[in-house]
Amino acid sequence: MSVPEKLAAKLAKGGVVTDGVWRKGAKPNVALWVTEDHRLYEEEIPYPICGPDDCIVHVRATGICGSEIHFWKTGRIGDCKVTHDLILGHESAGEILEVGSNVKNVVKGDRVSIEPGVACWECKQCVSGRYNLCPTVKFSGTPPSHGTMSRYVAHPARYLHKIPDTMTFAQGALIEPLSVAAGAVSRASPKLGQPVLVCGAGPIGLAAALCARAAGAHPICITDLEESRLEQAQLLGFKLTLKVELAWDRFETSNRIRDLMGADCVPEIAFECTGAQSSIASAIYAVVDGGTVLQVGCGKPEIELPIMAMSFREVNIITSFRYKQTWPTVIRLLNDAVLGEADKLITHSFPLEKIMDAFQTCVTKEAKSIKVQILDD
Amino acid sequence: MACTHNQRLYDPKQVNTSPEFRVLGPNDTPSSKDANIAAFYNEKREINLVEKPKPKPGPGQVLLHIRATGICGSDIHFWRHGRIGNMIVTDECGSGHESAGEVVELGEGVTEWKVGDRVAIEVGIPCFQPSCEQCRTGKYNGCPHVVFLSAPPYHGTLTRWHVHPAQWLHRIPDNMSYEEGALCEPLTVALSGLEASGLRLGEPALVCGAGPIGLAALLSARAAGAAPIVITDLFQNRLDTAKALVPNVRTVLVDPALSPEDQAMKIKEAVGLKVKVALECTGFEGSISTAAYCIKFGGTLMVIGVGKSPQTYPFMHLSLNEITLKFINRYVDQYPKAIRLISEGVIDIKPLITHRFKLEDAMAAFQVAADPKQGAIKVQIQDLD
Repeated sequence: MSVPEKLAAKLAKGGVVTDGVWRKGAKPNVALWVTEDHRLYEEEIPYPICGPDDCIVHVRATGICGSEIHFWKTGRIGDCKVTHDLILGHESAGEILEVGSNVKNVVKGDRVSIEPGVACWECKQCVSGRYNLCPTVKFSGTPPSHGTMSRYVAHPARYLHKIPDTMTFAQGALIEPLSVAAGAVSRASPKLGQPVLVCGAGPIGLAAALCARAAGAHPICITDLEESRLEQAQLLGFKLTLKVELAWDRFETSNRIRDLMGADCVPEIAFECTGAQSSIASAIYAVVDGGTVLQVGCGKPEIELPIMAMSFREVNIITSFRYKQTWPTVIRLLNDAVLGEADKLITHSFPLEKIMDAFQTCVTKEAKSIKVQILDD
Repeated sequence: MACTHNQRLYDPKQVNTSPEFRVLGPNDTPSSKDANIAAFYNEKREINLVEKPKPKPGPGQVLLHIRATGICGSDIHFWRHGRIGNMIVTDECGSGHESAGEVVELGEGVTEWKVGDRVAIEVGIPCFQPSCEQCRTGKYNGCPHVVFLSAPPYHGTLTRWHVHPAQWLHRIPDNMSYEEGALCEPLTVALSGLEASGLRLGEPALVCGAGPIGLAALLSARAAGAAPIVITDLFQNRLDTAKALVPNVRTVLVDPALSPEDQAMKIKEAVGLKVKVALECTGFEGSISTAAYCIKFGGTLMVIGVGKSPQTYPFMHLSLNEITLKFINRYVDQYPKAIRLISEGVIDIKPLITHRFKLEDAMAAFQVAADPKQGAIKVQIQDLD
């Protein structure tokens, strides 16, 4: 059987190579696609070709990210636009079925977590260790590159990280969002005993709070607009939460944060995980003189900042983009239970056959989902 | 060196030459159950229970009833060896600097405390003069004119009644015992080292030495999210304590016959990789050299321990691997954090106390603390009635 031309073209646009031959795996290679005009659909694709530096992975677990919902519903994040049908997915873990001829770090049967950002390793950023900033990175599930939401995927072996036998695939698929948080947290390095603020109790906010707590930051205050998200924070053991009202201005919000944390515990770092202008302004006013706002959250491309308020008090903003070298560390932290009950971030799981239901759950407020995952045996 | 106000205020001669000062022999008893007894070492390498006058708080001072004091290795060292660095025992000197107590009387002008307040005591009293560069730049631990109580010649806090500057006391909350208050001091040493080391969440760490400072460093490193952590010591019982405190710490019993490189091999086998940071809590040359071989390129060898001087280290290994060799001296602004970490349950440090003695039995306490066969970790003297 051969690969239909239209499908071959769609796959090629996202960097998936076919040679016309329709290879088959043990089960159909179902994939989840998003279109420029905001549609999701399932379409089977051929079993992948394994390049010399690649492995074929049976994807056993994949998490859905807010960015995927955003690409679906709005078709873009900043300058990154969906211009052709795209296979989504970048939070995955699975089992290696095949290894390429050059591969030395893993073997067939190894259980791995997939690091989705494939960098070039030749540019200045890569060579200096900041490969997360590689300008030609191929990031799974982000236009233009196809992602990992298919049953079988080929991925460079260099970006496959072994997970211990004690770790489930679901946990392996959590490493990516935890890496976003760990990467951000490492850019501001909370210290043992340091008071910190986390703005936003979504998956990244909660993951950042878990990392900050694991680093010994104390006390940790978490804010959100939604009571249900703060309840989830409470379930993870974060007792100091504040429900922010949209009617409050930055002064009211920051004062309430400081009151809650106590006069001796003015936050020294704010992990801003909403991307919302009002929350960023509140964080700037809440942190101590000389403090740092660590901007993780993504929001509008352009916002207004109270720059003079920052300047008078030497408050800095540090941005963080994705992660670098985090997989081995996060795997270790998760496996050694240093991150506490990070599993609780997973609120819903669906089999691959029900992937559309999984996406619907993400956009159904009543479901109160944090991390929705797709599992395949 | 100009004699500062504090040096005058805490001049030990006031006590040593007082008619009420007497060394208590083995058959002597204190004059009353409230007598101001204390443990003093002297230039003859003796440790004695002494009785001294009950002081009165002057302006800006408070009188404390000391409720708990831990014995430090430095107290033992001053007793038995008469010096650490250029701090030399020349006369009777009161031991003890790890104390917590209760405010019983206020000196003139003191408004931030009231009688009954419970405090942890910071014994390093810097000059805080504008002409002092260290004090001016927030490094008061480096003040050259510091009066550090229990470092000769200044009398320490292992006593019943003690007068202290009101501003060098730290409130301990009701959920914290005096015992825990007295553990703040060793914890601040460990926290100091941890902070200076730059150890970060998820980084592997080596702790050399499982004595009180090593164990406090282990608890701190664990609380800061270091992983994995490996700890070394000469004594198995100390490693067993480490394991009880932090179940997934790797332990390595040091073999004194091994070279530092060979010892480092055993440590690397136990933990599976080279560490980013070594928190060196022995001050022992062999242990420091061993640590050097365990650290990855660009890592840090954080020396908290105090030892003999000078010492010899594997220079080329440190150089070729760009390893940072770093030191701390005591602590700066760590007490509020230490108190918070203990009272909020982030660090559980109480298990470090292995022996408790009444103040009248301070001599027995020192004997236990100084005898390795007793297996003591932190011996505390408590006057809780």
